[in-house]
Amino acid sequence: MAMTSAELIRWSSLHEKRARTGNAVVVALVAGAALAGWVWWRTREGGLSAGSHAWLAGALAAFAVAFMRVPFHLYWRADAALLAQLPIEGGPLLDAALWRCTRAAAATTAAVAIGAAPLAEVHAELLLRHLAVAGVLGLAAALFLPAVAIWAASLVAVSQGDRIAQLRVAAGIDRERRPTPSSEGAVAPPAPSTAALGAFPGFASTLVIVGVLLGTSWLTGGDPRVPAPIVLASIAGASVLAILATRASAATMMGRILRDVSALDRQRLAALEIHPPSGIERAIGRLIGDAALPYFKDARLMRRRYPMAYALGALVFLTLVIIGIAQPDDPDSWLTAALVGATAYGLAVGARLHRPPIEHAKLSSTLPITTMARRRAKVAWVIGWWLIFVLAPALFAALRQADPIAGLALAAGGTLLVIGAATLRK
Amino acid sequence: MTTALATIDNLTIHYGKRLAVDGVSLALAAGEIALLLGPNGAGKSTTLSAIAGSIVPTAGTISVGGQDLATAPRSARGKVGFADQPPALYEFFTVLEHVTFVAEARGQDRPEAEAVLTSLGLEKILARPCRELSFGMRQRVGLAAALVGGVELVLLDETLNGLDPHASRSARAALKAAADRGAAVLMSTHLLGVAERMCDRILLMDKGKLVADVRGPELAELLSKGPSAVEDFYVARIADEGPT
Repeated sequence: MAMTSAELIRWSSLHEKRARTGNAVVVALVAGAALAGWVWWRTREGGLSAGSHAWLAGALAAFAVAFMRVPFHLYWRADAALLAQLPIEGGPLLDAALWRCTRAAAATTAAVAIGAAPLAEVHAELLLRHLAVAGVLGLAAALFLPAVAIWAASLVAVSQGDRIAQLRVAAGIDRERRPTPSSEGAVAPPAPSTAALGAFPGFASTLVIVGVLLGTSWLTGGDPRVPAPIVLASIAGASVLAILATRASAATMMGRILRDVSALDRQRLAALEIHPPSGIERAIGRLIGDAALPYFKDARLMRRRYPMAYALGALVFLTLVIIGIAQPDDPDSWLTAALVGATAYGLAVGARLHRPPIEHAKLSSTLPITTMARRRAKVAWVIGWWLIFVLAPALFAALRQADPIAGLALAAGGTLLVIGAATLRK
Repeated sequence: MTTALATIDNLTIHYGKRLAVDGVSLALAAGEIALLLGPNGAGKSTTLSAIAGSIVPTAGTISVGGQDLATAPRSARGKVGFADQPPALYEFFTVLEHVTFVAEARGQDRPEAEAVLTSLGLEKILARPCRELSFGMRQRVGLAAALVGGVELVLLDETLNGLDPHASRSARAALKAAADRGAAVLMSTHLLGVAERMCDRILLMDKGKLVADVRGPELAELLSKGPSAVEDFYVARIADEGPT
């Protein structure tokens, strides 16, 4: 008898429950309480508008992370290759993946909803508007983004040859699908469009966030040019329709999606582009003496294994530069969201430097490289990343504001946390 | 003539611009135990992964029990058990939970998982988390997951490596039992002495191609030449050029 959705979800939940280091409910409560504290403080200092902006910045930062994690709930998973080998129907595979997305979205929504609580003191009806935005963002994280990510993965899973065959059938050129050509005379296939796996969900996230931003003034009782309820209803409606369409179409090919996306790792890693250290890396290497060797190793591996560190760094850089140039009315909320997000990621990426595949403690302990040199190498990498992508644009953004104190304090606090953690980590 | 249980036709796999497997064709019969030998980087693991359905071939077809892996993937995968290298284990499951999960995915249940684990001498570590297992134990749990569920084709990628003599003996016995009930076994290994005691066929791969296929009287003659006959045969057929 084939494994059902409920059985697969039970197995999946059991494993994740044991693998998880923290309790998700507690994490959501703590994050929500932190956001609520910040919103309360901003409301008291600057009124409803400042509190609402603070909440929106926090909510968008939290959901940006939730949106980015969607592909990891779906197919960028350690067990993808194993699941793809087993004779499990696509429906249960898809349902288990959607269950993970829904659970994560619910936790984020709960945290963000708790964060809005202080606004009840000011205006109960406007609190409901904030909760409506939180709910719609939650729907997007649970339904819309998974649908887009699965669609993007299905594009990758269907090889170019199949797509051409499908187009020929659709165009009436062929009556039915032709078999795959044999290897005789076959050439290396074009690289699969792996960029689609990140690009389409990224584009969809941007659409959702821009949609919410267009109705910002509605949250404080204003009258935005684009009617916010219609935008929110559209996002909610699109989320439900997208997941219904995906459930109907993608269930049959979820196994293939898992197999092909996990196989891409092997095929992509087999054809690494080898670049020498960049000019900045060479300059840092010259400054750190005997730590240069492990530093170059770390830098090379980080570039290949975690390119997202550079992509996200570039995003934070751009965001801060835009805040600096645009000089918004309430810069502290935006600076806080950008710098808190960058600090959280800086802490996470600093931890990754100490784990495989970047660091192999057993191997390193057998090599003539001192523990201090290895540690200095990692601190140097974190300092370089933080300085270029976060601190420099943060100083620019803060100093461009009428009152730079809050921005400078945030930049200093983030720097202390990220570099302090990198220095103290063993 | 024996009917083929698994048929691989013109299997070709590229890693980017590198050709890893170059037009491999072979058929495996029910009850057959075949060794896949070859130097490091010859394409053995890639071939096994493709037959297991975890790597997408550039070209060629694979069918197991009459089911084409491309057009009927679920039916075909249900007939194949694969012990990858390193074995893919759920680190936070116990040994019994991991193998039971795989058994349930193949339509079997917990007693079947327990039976396979017992046949491999793992009955004392059923409750141990996979993340606490030694290398050899992980190999054995990977083998159990490959065998469970009455699969028709067992694929092993260096799975016999790192086993102690008792474990090696029970693993060979379990594979023999699988072959006796009609499963085909295809395994890559460098442990020639261990493997030649149980094989019905030797396949030799080099540079992505299948360069030798020895079985029947030819294999019997080869094995009769003495304890190092397979190694001598290998050395004679494969030039020592180092990895390419």
